[in-house]
Amino acid sequence: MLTRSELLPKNVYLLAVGLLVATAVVPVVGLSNLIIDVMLDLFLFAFVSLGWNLLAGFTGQINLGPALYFGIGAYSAGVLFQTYRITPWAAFVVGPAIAAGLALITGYPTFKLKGDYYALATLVISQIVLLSFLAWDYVGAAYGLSYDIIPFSWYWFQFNTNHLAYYYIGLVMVLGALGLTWRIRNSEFGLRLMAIRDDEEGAKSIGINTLRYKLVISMISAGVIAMGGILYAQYTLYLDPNSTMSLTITADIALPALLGGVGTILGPLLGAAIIQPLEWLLRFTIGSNLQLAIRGAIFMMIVLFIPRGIMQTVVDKYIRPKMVKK
Amino acid sequence: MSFSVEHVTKRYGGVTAVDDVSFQIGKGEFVGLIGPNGSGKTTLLDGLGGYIRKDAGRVALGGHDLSKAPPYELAKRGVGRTFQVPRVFDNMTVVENLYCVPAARSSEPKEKRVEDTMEMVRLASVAHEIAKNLSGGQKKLLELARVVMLNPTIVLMDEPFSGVDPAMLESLLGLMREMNKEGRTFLIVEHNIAVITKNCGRVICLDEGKVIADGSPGDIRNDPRVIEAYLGT
Ligand SMILES: Nc1ncnc2c1ncn2[C@@H]1O[C@H](COP(=O)(O)OP(=O)(O)OP(=O)(O)O)[C@@H](O)[C@H]1O
Ligand SMILES: [Mg+2]
Repeated sequence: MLTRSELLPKNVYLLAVGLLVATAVVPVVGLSNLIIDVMLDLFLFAFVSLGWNLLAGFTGQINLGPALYFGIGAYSAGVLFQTYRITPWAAFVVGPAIAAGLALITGYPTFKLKGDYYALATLVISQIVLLSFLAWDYVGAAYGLSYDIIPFSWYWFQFNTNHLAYYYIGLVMVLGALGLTWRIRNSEFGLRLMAIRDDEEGAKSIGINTLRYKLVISMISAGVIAMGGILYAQYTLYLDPNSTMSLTITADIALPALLGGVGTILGPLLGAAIIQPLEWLLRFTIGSNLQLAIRGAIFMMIVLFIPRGIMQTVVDKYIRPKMVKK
Repeated sequence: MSFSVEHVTKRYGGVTAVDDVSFQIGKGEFVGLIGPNGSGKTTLLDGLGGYIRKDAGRVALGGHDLSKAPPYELAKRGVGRTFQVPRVFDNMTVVENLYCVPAARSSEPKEKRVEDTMEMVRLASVAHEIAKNLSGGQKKLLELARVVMLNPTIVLMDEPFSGVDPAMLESLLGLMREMNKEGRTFLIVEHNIAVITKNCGRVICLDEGKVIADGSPGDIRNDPRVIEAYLGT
């Protein structure tokens, strides 16, 4: 009865999950470390983009500073390990909790206002925190935070000698985020989020406390993005404010969803599968300069050619006309 | 469950859009609210529905003070509302538009209520169409169907028949009458005087934010102030 507006045949989802699961087997055959690293980035940014999409796609609230939560997650892992010698796995509690708290503080005053104050506030706050971290000795200030390297340990969440462990953790995280998105999309909670996105006054008129819904999902979204930051920290083993909280990271979080289809379940995964390999390719060919410019260019192309993203465009053009006629 | 409106006032800068409006509506009444353009009808509905802050006045349903309640609270208390331009959820299917209504005021299973409501408003054939592809009249039906899902005590409607073809007007009106028979109260803003006088047991007329007449359709039609302000000669 609860039919999905996306109207994608169920097979498409099964295919996507099948492909993901297949990626779990492929490395056994033997993949170069490079490909494993590219795939890991693909998983990581699909994961955080799925998190961003929960708020932007399903609820229509644009967070322009998701890198803040990413950085919070990364630093919570880094500080726990490097400063207190506590297992970084504990960051999966601490990071999302702090990120959700920040999301609450940002959302509560701004969600009440009409207009784009939330977007503005998230942008400003992410920049303020970035600048503060650059000056904050506790987190290593601008020098950043270097991990003491441990070759391979599940307890310390470090797998320097074999990146496959990161790879599998990333894969599990993506599957988890897909499952979460699926659950939300097909629940009454999710439908109400979409109602808020489509018409906030209309949503209020049927008894939805829109402020509360927006706060809850923004906290969930922030928590998911923070978890991505943890994986990033444990993988790079070096953190500084610019590599974890900058606009480049914000772009990497948002672009997959925008390209693949904001407000769809598979869109962020599809987008990341296109963008991450592309970014690696560009890094090899034209180097690490122009990082932000390249992302800006990708953004412009999306806005110009497929403003609704790949999934929605395909559904609108080819799938919905067929389904509705039946 | 009578709906009482006492001394409600709303100012926009120098304009008093709603000026000390008071009336009582009894359970099951079917009331029309008329008045010239800019007379404050929409502003009054927005005030009653909690969408704007009132400068003064009290609103109560069955003795419960709802003057300060936000719209979602009013909806939960049984005050339904439709809008001058229908506010359907564009990118969701008809089914989903109904499913997302919190079912706090009913013990029946959601699925059954959604199905029954779609049958009732005759939207079952477009159940899986997304709302933005519906016709204007269908959107109004869908909006009313959402209100049905709320199981409302009173329904506030802003121009339900504007831009609706005659056949659709009959469907909408039929549905409203059916709901009215179940004891639900209606307050309807409408410019289609013929429909109002034919169907409403009582008509309230606003002019420049004030109630200038309140009575049976016959009285209203012959009221010199209403004729001067609105109906013309
Ligand atoms: N947000 C606002 N800001 C300033 N003035 C407003 C606002 N909303 C309404 N008004 C003014 O309040 C008065 C009443 O407007 P309202 O929309 O309630 O009239 P109405 O009776 O619904 O008219 P119509 O029949 O055209 O829908 C008008 O003078 C209008 O210009
Ligand atoms: Mg009006």
